[in-house]
Amino acid sequence: MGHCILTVDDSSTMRQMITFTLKGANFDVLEAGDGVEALEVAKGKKLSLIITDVNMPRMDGITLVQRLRALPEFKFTPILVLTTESDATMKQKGKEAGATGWIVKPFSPEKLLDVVNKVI
Amino acid sequence: MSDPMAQFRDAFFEEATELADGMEATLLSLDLQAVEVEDLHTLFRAAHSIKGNAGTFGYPAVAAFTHTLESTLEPVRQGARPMTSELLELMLQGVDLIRSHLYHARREEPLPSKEQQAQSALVALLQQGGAAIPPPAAATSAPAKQVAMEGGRGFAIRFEAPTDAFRRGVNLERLFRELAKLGPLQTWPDFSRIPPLETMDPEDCHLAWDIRLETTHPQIEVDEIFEFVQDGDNLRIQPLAPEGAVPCLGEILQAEAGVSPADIRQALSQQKRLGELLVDMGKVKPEAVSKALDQQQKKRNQSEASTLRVATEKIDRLVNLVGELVITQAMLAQASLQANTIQGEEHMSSALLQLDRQTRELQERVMGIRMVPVDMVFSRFPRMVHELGKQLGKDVELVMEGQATELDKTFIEMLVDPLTHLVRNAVDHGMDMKEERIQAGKSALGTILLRASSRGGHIHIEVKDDGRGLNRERILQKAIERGLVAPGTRPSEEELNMLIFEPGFSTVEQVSDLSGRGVGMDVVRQNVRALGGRIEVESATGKGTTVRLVLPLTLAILDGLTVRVGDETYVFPLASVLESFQRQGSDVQTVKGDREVISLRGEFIPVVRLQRLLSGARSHTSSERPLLVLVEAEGRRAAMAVDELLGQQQVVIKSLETHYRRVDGISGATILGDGRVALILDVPGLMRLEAGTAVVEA
Repeated sequence: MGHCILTVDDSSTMRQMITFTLKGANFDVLEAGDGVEALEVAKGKKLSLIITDVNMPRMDGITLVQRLRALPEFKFTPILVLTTESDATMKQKGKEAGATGWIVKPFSPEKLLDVVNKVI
Repeated sequence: MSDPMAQFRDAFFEEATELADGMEATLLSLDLQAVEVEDLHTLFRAAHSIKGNAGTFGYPAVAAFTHTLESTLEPVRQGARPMTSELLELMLQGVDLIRSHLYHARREEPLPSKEQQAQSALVALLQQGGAAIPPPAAATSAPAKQVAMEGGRGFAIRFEAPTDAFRRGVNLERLFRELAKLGPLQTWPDFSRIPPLETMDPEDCHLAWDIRLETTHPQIEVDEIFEFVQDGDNLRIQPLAPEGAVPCLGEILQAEAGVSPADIRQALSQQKRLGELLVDMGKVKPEAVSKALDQQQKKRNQSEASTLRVATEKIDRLVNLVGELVITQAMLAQASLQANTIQGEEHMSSALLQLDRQTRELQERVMGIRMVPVDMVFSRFPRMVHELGKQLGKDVELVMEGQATELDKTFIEMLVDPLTHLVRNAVDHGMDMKEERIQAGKSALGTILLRASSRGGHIHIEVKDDGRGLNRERILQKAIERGLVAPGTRPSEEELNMLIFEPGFSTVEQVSDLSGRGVGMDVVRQNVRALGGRIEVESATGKGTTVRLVLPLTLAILDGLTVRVGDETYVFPLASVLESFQRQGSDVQTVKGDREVISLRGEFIPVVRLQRLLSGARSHTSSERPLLVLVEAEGRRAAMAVDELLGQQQVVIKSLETHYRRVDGISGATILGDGRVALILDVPGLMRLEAGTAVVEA
């Protein structure tokens, strides 16, 4: 059974990089450009992991995490937040919202897979 | 219960003390106008190492405090906070507190409240200063992560899963799998945190584990695995005891009998100390217990003071040498079997030659064990000079040379006070004020040179300042006032210089709170004499003063000149012998009844008749003794009349006091090669004795 991962980011280059890396590691990948779109895409899907950026238009990553946790099917799904080194408080915010962990930007494809393997 | 960690703790304390000393030295060498970044890194690394090690060896208070210093240094070395003279002072205080922490931790006692307060105040000041330019947020958390124990045996981990672990989608199983990748893993789940069912939220996580992980990976890798689940103090990672140490019973029971660490903790918490048990049983009063503990502590301190750190290299050489000796012994045994053959004799004499060389080397090396670098005393002075200079408003720089020169450990200990006094004096009295210096055309920055050097069987330790020099007029005046010098006489410069070592002699009109009370300098002389050394003073007005301590290499062995006087053999310490010569018929003149003087190169020198001086025997003149040995001590000379010079040799000093009693003019005894006992002469003592009889007879 293959794992399906949803990646949420308003930057398409970032999404492409993540998708490319994860597909290379034999994951199925879905994409969304912001929180609102992510909720639509996720609806009815069986997801193993959601990776989301924080700063996005329409609905930011933290809100997305809170909304996802409120949905029964995503209550226990691992969620990783993309954050920057300077955002030390962001890790804490993400945790409080219910995120499983974080990936600090900038990150390499290897680091991304490392962290993904830590939670799946 | 003996503590298997004890031997590592000693090493920890020694290393930590060295690191603290290093921090102090670096701090003192900082040029605030142009701070070397490398120095800041050095300071940071030292604080970091102390912190890391203190944590490892179970001294959290030391670790916590050094962490503060480290955190303060972090923005400084990043260039975000300037190194100011205020910060420098605070860091120096910090180093003192580290030392004090180490001192008390070593005695397994808490930091006294006075120092606790000092620490709180210091921490507040350090953090206050930091707040002006806040360190980058990431930087403060970074050092904690850097505590990477490389090459350890593994870790004992206590992990309490965060309550929201499930709700955050944390995969706990994955976590253990990651850990297992680092090495063999043992886990003991702890269900004791699970609340009663009626109050439990089924989505909360109440699990906890004790984990034993054997791995050579550094701690940072373990930290990373727990990254998403670490929250406050729910994770404790402690390195396992290093290989080679005897493991604690609990550790073995954990590994072999499946006892969980939680059980052990609980059992240990029920354990009482012997004193408490006895008090509970009514066998002893609490006061008696605390008295006994004091006594124990005293013994502990004593054993600490009597240990000696010896370089492994020195021990290795000794072991090698003993190996060689064993071979020589076998050669001698072999040779003795063929004693009557030519070959046997050849073997015998070559083996004896070898034995001779080896015995001498063994002697030197065994003595060498007691030798430690003078740096052990010197290292305290940069700080002292820095502080004294500040207090007195003088710009003083301390230059040290020859710190690696080795001295007998006993000397090192006995030199602490005299040298402290001399250095203090140099700063307080010797050094002139800045304005005076500039007026005199000297550089505003005064220099005190502390130099140790080894010179032909002696160690010279000099304290040299480039200050105002001794005021001989004032000394003379004072000496006349005190009746040390008869009015109208003019002692030589050397004699005047030596007067400063007389008890109660101080020429300073205003006594400062540091020195100048006139006590001390005579103590300096006493201590140096007790070590078999002497003091020399050189001084030039306006240019400075040099006080030189001339010390024998070791207390136990002396380079001596053996002489025969009548039937007795005496030993002169070679250091005090200037020359020996045959007397000419008429150069000894009798003065004042039966006293004799010799005129040597225009100087009249008293002739001493040893036997008369020591035993009171009445030898009428020295004329029956054909040789004179010219000796010098404390700037005075005397000619000792002897019959024969037997030779120059090293003698082992045996104390006369421990075997017999103190005898004036004799510093000890030794056993000669033929088994006879020879007395070692105390030259300064003899001169005092001679001067004493002169007064009596006059």
